[in-house]
Amino acid sequence: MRQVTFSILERTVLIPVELSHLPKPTFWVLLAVFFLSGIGTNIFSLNDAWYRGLMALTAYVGGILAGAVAAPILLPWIPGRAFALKGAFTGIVAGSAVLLLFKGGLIWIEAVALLFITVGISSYLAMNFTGSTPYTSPSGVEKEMRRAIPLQAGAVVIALVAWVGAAFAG
Amino acid sequence: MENFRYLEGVTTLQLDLEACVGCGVCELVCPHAVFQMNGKKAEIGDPDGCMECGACAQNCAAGAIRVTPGVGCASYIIQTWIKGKEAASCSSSECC
Repeated sequence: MRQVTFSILERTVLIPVELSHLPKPTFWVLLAVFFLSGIGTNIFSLNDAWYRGLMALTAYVGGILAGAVAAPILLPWIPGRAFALKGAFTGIVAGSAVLLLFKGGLIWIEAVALLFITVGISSYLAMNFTGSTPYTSPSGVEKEMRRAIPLQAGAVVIALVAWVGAAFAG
Repeated sequence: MENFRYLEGVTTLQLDLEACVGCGVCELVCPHAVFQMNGKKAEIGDPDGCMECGACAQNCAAGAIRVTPGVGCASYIIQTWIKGKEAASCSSSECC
């Protein structure tokens, strides 16, 4: 009997497939990120839109790298079976790196927001990688999604509220 | 593949032992060694290894195997939730 394999090389060549889905949603994410980042006590600040927008964009890119690049490569070594969980783990690592990058320039609400953006995006993108593997069953993916999507969406909503709210708190 | 195990207790795979003629094709075509022969009948030895590819059901001449095959990526499943299974497409611009 012939059995399938899923080596690190076979997983790595699939990464561009995952990344190729992203340009269209990223366009809308960019618009939203810079718009929301500019909202503050001055109603709207172009300066904040640029500087805070770049920080939020870094968190988004961190989520992409953690979920669509690191999770496929490190797949068998990341704890858990659900891909959304694996993506959350890589997202926590990437999100922590983003926070270290901006250390000193963030208040705690902003730090929470950036971490939640990275973890939410990473978890979703890792979950989407189920479509590229030769061992995940559609029934399993659907079960995983019913649990994970509300949590991922919740993380992103909390992140956005915290990010905009921080501009008024700080 | 031993390093890779997905969620347990989710597969739609079913084997009708009465209809099974024991040809062994399911054991041959399954990429995850889910089936094994037990005397003159097949048996599902490792149901949690099933990825629901549908190769066994498609190749079972006796029609003894039932499974709901499909695409397991999140984008496609979200499409089936929104548009329904008939309208969802695996090769649309919203999918790979």
